[in-house]
Amino acid sequence: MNAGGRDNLSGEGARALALYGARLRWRALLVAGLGALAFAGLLVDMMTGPAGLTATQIWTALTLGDAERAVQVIVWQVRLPVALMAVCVGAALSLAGAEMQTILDNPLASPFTLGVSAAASFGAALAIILGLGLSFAPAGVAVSVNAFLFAFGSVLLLQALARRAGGGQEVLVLCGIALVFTFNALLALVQFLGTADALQQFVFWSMGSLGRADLRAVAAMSAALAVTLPFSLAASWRMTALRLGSERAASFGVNVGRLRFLSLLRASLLASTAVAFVGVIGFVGLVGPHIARMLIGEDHRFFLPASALTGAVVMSFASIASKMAAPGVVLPVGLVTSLIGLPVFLALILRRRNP
Amino acid sequence: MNPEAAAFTITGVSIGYPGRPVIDQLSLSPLPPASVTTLVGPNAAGKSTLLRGVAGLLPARGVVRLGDLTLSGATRGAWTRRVGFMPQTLPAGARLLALESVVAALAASQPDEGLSLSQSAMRARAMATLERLGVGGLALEPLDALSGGQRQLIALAQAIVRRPVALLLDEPTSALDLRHQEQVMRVARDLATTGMMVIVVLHDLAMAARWGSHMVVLSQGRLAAEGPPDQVLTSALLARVYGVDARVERCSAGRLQIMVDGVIDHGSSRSGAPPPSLPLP
Repeated sequence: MNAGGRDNLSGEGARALALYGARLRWRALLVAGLGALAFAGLLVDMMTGPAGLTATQIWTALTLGDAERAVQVIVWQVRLPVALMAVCVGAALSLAGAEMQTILDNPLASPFTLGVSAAASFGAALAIILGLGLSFAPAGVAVSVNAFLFAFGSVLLLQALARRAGGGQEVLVLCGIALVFTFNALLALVQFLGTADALQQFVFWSMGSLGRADLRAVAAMSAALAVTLPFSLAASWRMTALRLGSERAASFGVNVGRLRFLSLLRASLLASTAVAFVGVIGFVGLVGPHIARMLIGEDHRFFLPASALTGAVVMSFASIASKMAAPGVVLPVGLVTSLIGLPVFLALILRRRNP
Repeated sequence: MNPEAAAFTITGVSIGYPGRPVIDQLSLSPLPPASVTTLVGPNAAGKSTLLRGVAGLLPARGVVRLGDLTLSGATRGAWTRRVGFMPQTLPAGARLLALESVVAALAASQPDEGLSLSQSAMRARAMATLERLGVGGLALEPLDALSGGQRQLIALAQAIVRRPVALLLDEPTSALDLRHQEQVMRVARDLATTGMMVIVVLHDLAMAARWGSHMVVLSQGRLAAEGPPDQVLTSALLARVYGVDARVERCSAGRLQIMVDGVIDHGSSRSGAPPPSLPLP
C-alpha cells in the first residue's frame, strides 16, 4: 500500500471530498445560525417582562446612559441576569446532555437520568427544610452550595461504584438509577420531617426558576462553561469515534475509560452548577442534543457546540414564554420547558419510528 | 518500516476477564506475514478473546510481539497504530456519514501517536481507503442507510485507514449473505497480498480453508492444531475438537468441504456438544 506518500484519488473521489467540504461549511454556517438565534433570544428575552420597557429604555440603561433609576434596576438586576442565565443554563444542560448521550450510548441520557437532580434536590432540601449546610457558606447561597455539593458528589460516587463493578455504560446507567431512587427516598424522608412552610419553599425551589439569578450566578455559570467547553471540543474526535462502538474506539487508540470518566466529570460540573442556581429544569438536556443531532449529525466538532447553542435557544425562548404565558405573572421556567419539551420529545420519537 | 519483517509471535499468552482466564498459556508458531491466517474452533474456544487480547483490548500476560514491538512494552497509540481490529458489527444509530466515520478512525488518537496529519490530509486518506475497498461511491451516505455488507466494508475501511501492519477481523462475515461474504473475504485476501498480515476469526470451516493459507484451531482456550488447512482439517480433529462425526472431502473445484454425519456421544458433559435431540411430536 502507498505507505508514506500521497493518496491518489479518482475524479469521483475528489468530487466526493469537495462535496464533503461543502457540507462541513454548511454545518459551520448552521452552528453560526444557532448562535445568532440564541443572541436574538437573549435580546427578546431582555425586552420581555411585566414592566413593559421599550427597547430604547433598555438600550439606554445597558449602555449606562441617562436612564431612570427604576429602569436601571430592572434592566441590570432582573432582565439582564435572567436573560443571560437562560442562555448559559440552556447551553450547560444541553452540552452536558450531549456528552452523556454519547458516552453512555443512550439517547435517553440527560444530566438528570443518573441522579444528578435527585441528589441536588436532596442537598437543597437539607438546607431549606432542615437548615443543614456548610457553616461557612453565606446564608444567601447555602441552598445553591448544598445542591452543588450533593449533585457533584453523587456523580463521583457513581463513578466509584461503576469502577468497582468493572463499569461499562450499562453499569453506569444501573448505578445511576439506583442513586435516583436512593436520593428520592432520602428526599421524601426530609420532606416528611419538614414544616408546611419549609415544604412550600422547597417545592418552589424544585420547580426551577430563572428568577433567582443575579450577575454573580451568571458569572459562576459561564465560568463552568468556559472551563469545560474547551476540553469537550478537544475530545470531539474521540467522542465521534466512540459512536462507532467502544471496542472499535479503543482499537483506534482511544482510552475509552478515561474519556468516559472525564466527560462525565464535565457533564456533572455543568449540570450541578445549573441545578444549584436555577433548580431542576427538565428536558433541555434531552431535547437540545436531539435537535442538534437532527440538524447537524454527530461529528462532535459541530455536534457539541450545536447542542450547547440549541439548548441556549430553547431555554431563552422558554424564558420568554414563561413571561408571556399569563399577563403579570412569570411562571417557573422549569414548568415551561417540561410542558414544551414533552410534546417535542414525543414528536421526535414518533418521527424516528416512522421514517 | 518493512511489513515483510514484521512477524507476529504469540508465546505463553494468557488472556481473560478478571477471575476467568479464557486463553491459558497459549503459544503459536510465528504467524506468516502477507497472508491470511484463520482462527477457528467451537463456541467458547476463546477465538474472539485471543483476538481482543492481541489487539490490546483485554489484559494479556505473556509475550505478544509484532516485529520489534511488544504488546506489553508499547503505548496504546503505538500498538493500535500497527494492529487494526474490527469487531463483529458496526452499532446502529450513529448519525455519521461513511466518510466521516473513517476520518474519525484516523483522527481519534491524533496527534499523540506520532501520526499527525492535517484535517484535509486525513479526509483524503479516508477517501482513498474507501476507494481502495471499492466503496468510494458510498462516502457521503449516512452509515444507517447502508446494507449489512456495505457497512462491513466501511468498518473494514475504519480498521485499515491507520495502515496497520496486522489486521484482526472478528467474524467479519457472520451477518452477511453469500455475495457479501465473498466480497469481504476477497478484500481481506487482497489486503494480505499487498503485505498486510490478516488474522480472521471464522465459524465456517470450509470458508476458512478456502481463504486462509494458515489455520489455527483453538479448543477450550488451548491450541488444538495449526498449519496449512488441508493438513489441519481431518476427521480426527473434527471429532476431537467439535465432537462431530465428519468427513473432509474435496469438491469438484478442489476446495475442502466438511460433511457432518452426526454427533459423537462421549457420554460426558462436553461443553461444545449440543443437547440431545428432542423426541418428535
